[in-house]
Amino acid sequence: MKNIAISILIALVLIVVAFMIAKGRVSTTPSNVNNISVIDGKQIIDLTAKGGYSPGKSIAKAGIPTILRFTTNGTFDCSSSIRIPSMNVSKNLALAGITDIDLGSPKVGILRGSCGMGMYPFEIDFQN
Amino acid sequence: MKKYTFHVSGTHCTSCKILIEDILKEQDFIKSVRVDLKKEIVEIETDSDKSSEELAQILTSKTKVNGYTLSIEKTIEEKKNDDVIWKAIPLGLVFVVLFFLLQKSGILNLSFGSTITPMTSFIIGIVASLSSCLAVVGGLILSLSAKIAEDDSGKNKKPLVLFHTGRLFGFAVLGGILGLLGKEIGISFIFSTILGLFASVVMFLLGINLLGILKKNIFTLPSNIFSFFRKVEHTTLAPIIVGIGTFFLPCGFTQAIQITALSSGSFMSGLLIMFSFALGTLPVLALLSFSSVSFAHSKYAPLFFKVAGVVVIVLALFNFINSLVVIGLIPPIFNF
Repeated sequence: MKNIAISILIALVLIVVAFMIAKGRVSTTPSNVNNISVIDGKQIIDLTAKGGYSPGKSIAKAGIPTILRFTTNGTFDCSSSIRIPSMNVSKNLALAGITDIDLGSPKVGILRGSCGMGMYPFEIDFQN
Repeated sequence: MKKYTFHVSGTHCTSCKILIEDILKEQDFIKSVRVDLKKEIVEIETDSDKSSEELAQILTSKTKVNGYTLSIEKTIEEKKNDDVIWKAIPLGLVFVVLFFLLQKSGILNLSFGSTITPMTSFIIGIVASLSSCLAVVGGLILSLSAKIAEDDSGKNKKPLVLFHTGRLFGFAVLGGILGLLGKEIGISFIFSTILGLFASVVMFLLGINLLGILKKNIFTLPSNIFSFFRKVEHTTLAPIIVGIGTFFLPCGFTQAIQITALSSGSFMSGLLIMFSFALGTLPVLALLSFSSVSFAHSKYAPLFFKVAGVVVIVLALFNFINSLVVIGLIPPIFNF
């Protein structure tokens, strides 16, 4: 019985630690870096893809033509393949350079995407 | 002629019945043998005058090498097993947490530039074999190796050698084909996701099986999956095909290298790039599979199988959840 109790205790601690690891870097507040620019009437959202996406959360304007621009620099990990289920996007980025994904004119709401295996997420909050 | 019934412990697979019967039939004084796996008993008919205690001892000495023990009383093995699982759960979780920490540490986010030579491809392979891809490919290898080691009790490393050979060969040839095609065809996203889902289901079932928490024979693998494992264990072709199949499993690094192979322009360069990548992943993956076999024959075997079971189940759930994220059924949960 004692063993079982110790075991369950250790297991619980480890699970909590695992969740802290997994959740640790989620940036709930958007980064201060301004990664949104408007050029020739097109909104460009810049994300860097390497070992995850940065910034993890961006706030952009809804309803205007928008391009999601990924910058890679020798990126070989999962973040080199982009998946946005709601827009049926699955795209492999150039290993180094810039890859654009046309989002059309997004509606208000949060657009969620991840890398091709699902463990590096990013989200873009489209607001009015 | 006398009839004896012994309790047998250490049976974990259907082939155990055949193995025990074969071993015992080789003894001159034994006339007939019948193993009942459900009740975990062995019935023998013998003309020997020895007492049942002596017989149990003699027969155990023959079957011990394969991990089976015969006894008159039902041994308290089960209680011991219970203890093992309570050690295995925290231990398995420690491994998983260490693995997640490694991913989180960022030390695997190396830069390689954009020109890929077979040499850089080899190094990327080493990195990939330690990355989150290990959760998919490594988890699958761990579960298959442990299962093969558990079932075969013998030192049958052939399926593992075939698997790794198939993997190297498959990566080389398919890499060459990608180089030859040279267009942006890419490996179908849906295909690799479905394969990934399938792999996580297989891993989960094997994990449960390795844990042995559910009473034997009540929970067995679905029969066609079970016969698939028989094939993996005993035919030449099946492990090779599984090895080749790992080419299509979802793994960011593999996909990035596949794209490099696509743009490499020729069969030879595509082949070299993919082959060196697979070669780079080999040390870690081989270590994983062959150390499973070694552990399975050490005194830590029961603990090893259960720890492997815990690790495999957690990784299977991790992969399963990620597959659902990628399909778009649930929002992203993990962030590494």
